[in-house]
Formats: sequence, C-alpha cells, structure tokens
Amino acid sequence: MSGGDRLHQDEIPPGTLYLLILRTLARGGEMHGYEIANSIQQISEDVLRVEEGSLYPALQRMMIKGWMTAKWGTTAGNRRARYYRLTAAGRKQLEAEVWQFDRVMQAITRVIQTA
Amino acid sequence: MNWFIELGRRLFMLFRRSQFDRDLEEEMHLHRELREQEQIEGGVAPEEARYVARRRFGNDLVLREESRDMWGWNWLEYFVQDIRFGLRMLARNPGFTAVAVITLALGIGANTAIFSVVNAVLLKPLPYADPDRLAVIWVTEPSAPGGLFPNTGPDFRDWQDMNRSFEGMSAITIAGATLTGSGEPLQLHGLSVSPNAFQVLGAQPQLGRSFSPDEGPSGHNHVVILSYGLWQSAFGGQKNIVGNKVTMDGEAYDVVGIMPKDLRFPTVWGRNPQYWTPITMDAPKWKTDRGNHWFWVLARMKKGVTLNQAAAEMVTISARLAQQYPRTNTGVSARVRSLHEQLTGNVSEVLWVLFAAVGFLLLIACANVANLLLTKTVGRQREIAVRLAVGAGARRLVRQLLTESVLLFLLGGVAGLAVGMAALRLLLRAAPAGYIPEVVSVHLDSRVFGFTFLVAFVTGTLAGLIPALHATRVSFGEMLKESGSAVAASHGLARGLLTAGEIAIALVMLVGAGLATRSLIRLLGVQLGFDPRQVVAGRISLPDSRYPKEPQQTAFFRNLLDRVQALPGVVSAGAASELPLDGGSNGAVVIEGQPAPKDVWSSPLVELCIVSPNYFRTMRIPLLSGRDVAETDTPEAPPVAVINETMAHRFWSHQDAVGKRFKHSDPDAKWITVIGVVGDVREFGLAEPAIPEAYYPESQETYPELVLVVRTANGPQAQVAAIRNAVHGLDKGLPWYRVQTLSEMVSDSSREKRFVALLLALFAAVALALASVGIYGVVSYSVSQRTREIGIRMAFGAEVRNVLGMVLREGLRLVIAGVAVGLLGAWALSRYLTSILYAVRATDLATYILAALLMTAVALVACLVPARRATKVDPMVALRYE
Repeated sequence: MSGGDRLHQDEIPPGTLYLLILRTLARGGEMHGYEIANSIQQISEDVLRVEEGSLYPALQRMMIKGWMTAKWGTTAGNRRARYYRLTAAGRKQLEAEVWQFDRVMQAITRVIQTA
Repeated sequence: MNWFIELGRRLFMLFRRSQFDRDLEEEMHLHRELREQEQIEGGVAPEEARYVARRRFGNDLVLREESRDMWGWNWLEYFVQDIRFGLRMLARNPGFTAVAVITLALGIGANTAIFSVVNAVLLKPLPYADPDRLAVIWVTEPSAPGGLFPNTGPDFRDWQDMNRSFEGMSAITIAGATLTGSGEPLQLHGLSVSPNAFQVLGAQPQLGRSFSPDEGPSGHNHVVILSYGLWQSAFGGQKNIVGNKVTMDGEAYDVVGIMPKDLRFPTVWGRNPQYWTPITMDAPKWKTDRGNHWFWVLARMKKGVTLNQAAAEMVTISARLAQQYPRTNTGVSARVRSLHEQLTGNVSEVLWVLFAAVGFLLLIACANVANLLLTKTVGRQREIAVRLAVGAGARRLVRQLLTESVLLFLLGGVAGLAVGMAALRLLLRAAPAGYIPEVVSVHLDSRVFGFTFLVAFVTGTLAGLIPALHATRVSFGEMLKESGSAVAASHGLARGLLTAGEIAIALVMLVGAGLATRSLIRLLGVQLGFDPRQVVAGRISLPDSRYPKEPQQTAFFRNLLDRVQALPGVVSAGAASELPLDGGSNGAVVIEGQPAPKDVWSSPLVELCIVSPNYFRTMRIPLLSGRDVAETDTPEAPPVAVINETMAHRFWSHQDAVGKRFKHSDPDAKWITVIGVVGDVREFGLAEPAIPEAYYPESQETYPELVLVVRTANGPQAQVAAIRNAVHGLDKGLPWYRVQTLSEMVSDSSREKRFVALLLALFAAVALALASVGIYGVVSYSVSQRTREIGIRMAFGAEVRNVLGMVLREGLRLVIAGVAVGLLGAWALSRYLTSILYAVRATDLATYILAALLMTAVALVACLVPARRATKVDPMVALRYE
C-alpha cells in the first residue's frame, strides 16, 4: 500500500531533489514527470518519497538553468506527455551535485562515527 | 554568457505565458490521472483512488504558482496588476485626479521651463569645438579692484609672443558701418577681429574663406565676412556676393566669406554681429599706445593646459611687462576666465534663484497632493485593514498604493511637460534681450525630458510613501475598535506637518518675491536726472570717407539740428555722444591747484560726453549754475566744459565750480574752464550711482557719431518719419538708427529686474494659492471628522462663536507654526538674493512682516470657509452620523 505508514517514509533531505531528478534522468533517458516520481520511489525502495507535485517547480527551474530540455510526446497508453531529457550542462551539474553530496555525507558520517 | 541564455529562456517564457500555463496544467493532470489509474489497478475503490492521487500530489494551485515563480516574472505581473488597479482608482475619482494632476502640472511645468534654461545656459557646453579650452583674458588695474578691462595693442602682441599656454589669441572689438548700395542705407553692427579669430573659435565659413594672417595692415584690410542673417536679409542669399565688393561707410570691401547660420559668435560686448572685418594692425593705438584699452581677448588654450596654469602664466607675463614698461603697466595684471563663465556669469545667480523658487513650488504642490492622497487612503482604511487581516502582504499593499501615487505623478509629469513647453515659450519671449546669453539655444531636449520624469517619479514616490506607510501600519483590531478615529488622529498629525511645511515654504517665496518687488519699486523711484517723456532719440554716424574734416562734421550737425528744430511739433533738439543709462567713456583728469597724482592710476576718472547746445534743455537736465555750451565755443576759443553736480562737489566742494579749471592727464593737454554745472543723471543704469562727469561742446570736441535727441510736443512716434526726412534731406546715404523713445529706453533699463520680480511674484502667488488650498483641505477634513463632536457641543448649547473659534484655533496653530518656520527659513535663505536686490537689504524687516501678515490672512480666510460650515452643523444629523 502506498498510502502507507509515515514513520517509514522519509521526506527527502532539502536540496537533494535536483540531485535525485538529475540522477534518475541520467539513468532512464527520456521520462515524463509521473515516471520520474515513480522511479525515484522505486529505486529508493519506497524510502524516499517526494511530494509528487513538488517535482514540477523543480523541473521548471532546471529548464531555466538549461540542465534539461522538454518536448511533448506520447505515452505507451497513447496519452500526450511532456518528456524531459538531460543536456550536457545537466550531466555536468549532476557530477557537481554528486561530488558535493558525497563530501557532505562523508563529513556527516565522520562526525557520527567519532561521536 | 550563461545568464544571457538564461534570460533568453525567461523572456521566451514571458511571451508564452498562456501556453506555459496550459502545458503545466496538462502535465499535472496527467500525473494525477496516471496515479489514480495505478491505484484502481491495485484494487482501490475509485473515489478513494482519486483522493489518494490528490493527496500525494499536493496543492496543485500552489504548485503551479511556485512553478511560475521559478521563471521570475512575478514582479512584472504584480506591477501590471498594480498599474491596472491604480488607473481604475484614478478613473473612479475624476475630481481628485483632476485636482492632483493640475496641481502637479503647475509645479512640474514651472520646473521644466526653468530647468530648460538652466540646462541650456549652465549645464550644456557652449556650441563651439572643444569649448572647455576657450577663455577670455582681461586686464586688471590697481585703481579698480575687481574690475576687468580691455587690452591694449602692444600688450596683446607681447602676450602673443611670450605665452606658452595658448594655441591662439584673438583681439575683438565692436564696430559699426553704414551699408549703402542696396536700397535704404543700413546701419550695421559688427566686430573688428584679429584675422585668426575664427580659427581660435573653431568656426568655418559656410561659403568662401576666413581671413588670412596678412589681412591686418591697411591696404589689405578692406575685406569682410558676412553673417548668415545679413547675407540673407541684405543680399537675398546670393552666392555670387562672395568675391564681389560691398560699400561700407562709402568704401569698397571684398566679401571673402559667409559664416554658417548656426554660428553664434560669443558676444562679450554688443549684439550678435552682422559682419566681421580685420582689426587695423598698423594704427598707432595697435602698435605703440600702451595706455589705450580698447578690445577684449578671446583665446584657445593648448590641449592639456588648465585654466589655472594659463592664468598663472598670464600673471607672470604681466609682471614682466610691468618691469619693462613701469609708466603704463605698473600694477597691471591679467585675469583669465573661461568663456563659459564670461558668457553666463551674469545670469547664473538669477537662474539658480529662480530654480530654487520653482523647486519650492514643486514641494508645495507635492505636499498638497500627498495631503489629498492621505485623505483618500483614510477613506479606504477599512478596505486596507480587511485586506491586511486576510493575509495580504503589507509590502505588496504599500507597493500598490505607491504605484497609484507614482502613476498620478507621471500623469502630472506629462501634463507638466505640456505646461512647461508653453511656459518656456512665454519665458523666452518675456526675457529681456540678451538676458539669456545669445550664444546658447534653449529648447526641450532629452535631458529636460529626463529631468521632468525623474522629478515626477521621485516626488510621486515621496508623496505616496507617507499615506502608504500610514495606511498599512495600522492593525486590523485597532481599526475595528476605534472605528477610524485613532487612525484619523495619526493622519491628522501627518497632514498638519505637511500643511505647516507648505505654509513655511510659501512664506519663504513670498519674502523672496517681496524683496525683489521692493527693489524694483526702489529702482523705478530712482531720480533719473532727466525727463524721458515725449523724447525720441536715434544715432547718426558720419563716415570718414565723406566727412573727413572736423568742421564738416560740426557743420552737418548744426544744419541738422536747425532743420529738426524747425519741424512743426518739435519743442527742441540736441545731440550728444552718449545717452544716460547707456554707459560711455572716461578719462583721467588733473585739477588745477590740487596736488598732481604720482602716476596714471591715481588720477581721478571723469565720465566724458560731447553735447550740442540745447542738449540739456531738450533732456530737461537742470542747469544749476553758469551757462550752457554755445555755438560761440569755437575751436579757436579757450576750451570749456559743463560739469555735473557730483564732479563739482568732488573737486570743488564748498566753492563755486564755475570758472575753475581742469585738464586731461596726458602731457600736452590744455586747461579746460568750467562754464556751468548741471544736475546728475544716471549714466550706467538705474542701479548705478551718479559719477563725476564733464560735457564738452560739440563745436570744440568734434565727434563723428552722435545721438540726435528730440523733444516733441505731442507724441514722439509721430515725428520719427519727419526727423528721418530731415536727415535724408542733408545726406541720402545716412541712416538714422537705433531710434527709440527715451521712455522705452528707461523702461528697458529696468527690464531685467522687472522680469525677475515678475517671475518671483508669479511663483509666490501660485505657492500662496496652493498653500491656502492645502490648509483649507486640512481644516475642512478635520471638520468633517469632528461633525459628531461639533453636533454634541452644539446640542449642549455651544454657540456659533465657540465652534467658529475652535475650528479657527486649530487652523491658526498650523499657520503660526508654518509662519515661524517660514520666517526663519527666509532669513537663512535670503542672503542668496543679495545679487538681485537693489537698495533693499535681504533682511528687510518690513518685507518680512508684510509677507507674514499676507500669508496669515490668506490662510485664515482659507480656514474660515470650513469653520463656517462647522457652525451650520445640525445637531440631530450630526448625532446620527456614522
């Protein structure tokens, strides 16, 4: 059941939504919003749950930044949908964000372990 | 580069907003549908499935708003909304809008007009190539500290040889000639210049050439360059005039060039020239006479040389000349002024005063409109409080109210620009000739437009800020509790301050206008020393070519005076070399029996004039003792002079001056006997005190150019044609020019003061009117707020007199505060007026008292209207109020 128990479903850490979207698109190629949301959830085995609508403002911002482009296409069920695809700038941004995230995580881990 | 591409994407989005909204909505809709479908497939009931899909998606309205935010165009959307809303509000209150826009149009328009002049005269560079390098060099003399004098030929040539600061120096003096050969003889005014003058100025002729360096010595200097205006008016713009000859003063001159239409030659002396001829470079006064100061010097500094460096070098050069020529040059030095300062120095102080006056006017207009806006926001207080209570951002509300007032001021700015254009046209027409330097052209340009809209914007923001901040500071609870009266009280303070401020500023302007007007009255009350009524005057200039000998000139004038005297309607006729109020020439004198001065500079200076018999009678200058000049004072008879009262007092106080002798300070001068004493006249203008003056008989000191003065029995204008006929009866080739009645001349001489006083009075009157509208508004608003209170008082038996007193007292408080501050302000600021005042001190007590009384009286009348309305309040109606 995806309605689920709040205790086991974590809000994603702030600032990582972009990272998650970028990573998802890097792996999956062209995707529309619903697919991105599902993908994030599945891969994190339902631990990470995005308030699904909040993908859309993030997607807008990433388009302005030029990290991705969008074009309208058709779904398997023959519905019109907007498909997002990573640009070269987006890949670079992904690397930067991953590197940044690792740094922060390592630092936090160290703090936790030495405590 | 990245931000640029990003901006491109944002702009793309801006122009496809509706498409964007549709896309986003479709995308989100699809998302929720797919989720719903997934739930149904997982076995959830349809209603439950939809609910889950919605819940997991979040608030789609907020999310869409957030998505839109990402593109960063919200401010623009709000702005457009605010403007629409503002325009609607303004359209809904046409009365308010009209009053505010008219008030602002007056304030802004006056500023636009005056700023146009300030811009053209003081801010814009002069219309010459590299104008910053142009300078005027004057001579300073120990006898007259602060005075600036023309140069002498030999000194000028030494300056040219010795200096390293200047690229070129040019000698320039006024000239005049009679042009014949094309119809009526035409009297021209022109300039004699060194051949390099145009090169120094950086001006090129439109046709032909300018002078060549060898066109100075006589035999080579009968060449002339015409102004565009003269070329058009006298020669019909014919191109073949260049290379041909014209006749000036009976001599042939080669026309070598025509100057372009837009050349505005600097006019330090005289008027915009009609022609230029080379200065005669072999006359003794050019080559050897270091005592004769007769031309001014225009110079162009070398690139990179500053005014101070050039000035310092000229001082050094002067010191060297003083060592070399101690008799003429001891103590003589040079002063370098930028051409800009030279041309605009006179008018700049007045311009700043006028600019300050219109600035004040605008402040008052703004305060009035701010007051109106305050009243209006009080009316909207409930609306605003409700909006704040339901969560509207205070900042957004302030911005909205501000947008409204800025919009109002921009409308005022547009109307002000129209008012300003009309005002500027009037101003330029009313300004005395030459008052605004002829070299600048005044018109509305982009800078003036920018200024106007900047002023509108800034004042709009300031005036809007007060009510906007007030309106949003008040909390909802307070609003409901107090039902508006507390808010009204705090607004009352703001309005009171604004109004007192208006009164203070208006009073400052009244004092300024009052001082200027009193100066003008003093000036018009000056004893002229002659009677200008019914007198007409005009110049006659005898050309050397036809009247080479002095007896011929004397004979001509004697004949002419006889003929004019015989004309019917002529009371008497005379002639003089200079008219009063018009300046003249002077000379150093030695008084018989008094110790001789040690050098030229310590000899007393006396104003010199040449007159015909009957001149004094014609002008009604009273003969105090002795006799008038007469035809018997021939060249063979001993030299004589009539002197004025001031000269008699200065040199022969407590004695009879008649029979005493004086002479000029040059070594071979003869003694001159005083034969009469006449009353003083104002020689240099109304504001200048009388100075010692000597009049020589025309029959002894012949002069080829005289002013013919004619007193008529009834109306001088009617005699002009007859007098001109008399001149032409003697010589067809002689113009009678610069013809003018003396009344006109006298009134011209006070035109500048009248112009400034008129403008200041006009501005002060508008300020007074606006300030009284302001106080009227405040008092009547407060009366309307206190209707219930007044009603209760009257119900309890208060009398009309009490109510009237109560309201008037409130107004009076504001007036007294405003007047007190205004008097202090006027006292502090009036010293900047000193330069435009005459015979009135800037702290003239009477003016201050009168201005304060006028302001108080007008303000009280403005209070009286609402106060009387208060007394008509019907207690029953008042108690039901609200």
